[in-house]
Amino acid sequence: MDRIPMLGVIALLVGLTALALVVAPLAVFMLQYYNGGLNVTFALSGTKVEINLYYNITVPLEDFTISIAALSSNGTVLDSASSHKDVLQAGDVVSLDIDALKFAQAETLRIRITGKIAGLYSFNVSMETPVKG
Amino acid sequence: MTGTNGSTLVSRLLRSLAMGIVKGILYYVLVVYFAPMVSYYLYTTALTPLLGGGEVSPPTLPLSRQAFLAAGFLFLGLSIAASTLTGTIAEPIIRAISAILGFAFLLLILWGGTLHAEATVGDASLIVTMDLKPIVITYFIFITVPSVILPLLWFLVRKAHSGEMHSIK
Repeated sequence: MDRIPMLGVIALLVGLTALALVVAPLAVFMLQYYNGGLNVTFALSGTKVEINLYYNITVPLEDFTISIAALSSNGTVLDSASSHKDVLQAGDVVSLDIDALKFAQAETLRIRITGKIAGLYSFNVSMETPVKG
Repeated sequence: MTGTNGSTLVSRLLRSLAMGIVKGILYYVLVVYFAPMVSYYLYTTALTPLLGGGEVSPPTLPLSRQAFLAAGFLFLGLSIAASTLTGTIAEPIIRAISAILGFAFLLLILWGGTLHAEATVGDASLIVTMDLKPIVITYFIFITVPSVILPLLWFLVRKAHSGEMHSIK
């Protein structure tokens, strides 16, 4: 009979450990992300606008996809590019390019990123930002 | 003899009440302060770098501050009731209700397991959706289920044990 409270303590410890193990990758991802673990840069390279995504977070991203589209004022896609990686790890760089002329004509740039943090937490980020010049 | 029994009962009740209040305060701190703080931190850490450090408004919490407070008092009341009714069948039932309500509350705090946040800074707009179901499922399997089963198991074993003692006598 006296073993039951002990069983409760063990169950609580097991539960908290399981919860910590599940939450830990997300917490680590958030902390490193906040400290600049993910950067997107744009650079003009010849007739192309090169977009580079630098991933420097120790938690891997599975089933990672990034797509970029240059949109006109009425929402028409002028040019787009996308890239997919089964696993994105720290130190990886994902490069995309879109036509510089189309980019210059665009009103809006749409970036979509999907993936699974540590293979557990699937996420979807959609961002639209006006293009100036 | 009666006086001793009475003072024992009062001291047991006081101890139970004190335990209930301590547990209730713990629940209150967790659900009223800690959970919103963590969700706000996750939200701002997700959005601030993407929006170039722009001002990020706080997320809309799934429950109002008053509802968080009411939930805190509900858990406090349930914890006190369970501690006071120790040894009766009501105790494991109340603890089970408390565990199930705790899980329901977690579901509410985590937007039903799917975080959805929208932000606008200037002309830029951002929509983030994140599946937090692994946390919900783990919490249910490893925290809610044992919290429902173990007090009941403990109660039944205690009853069986005291029944055996009576038959021996």
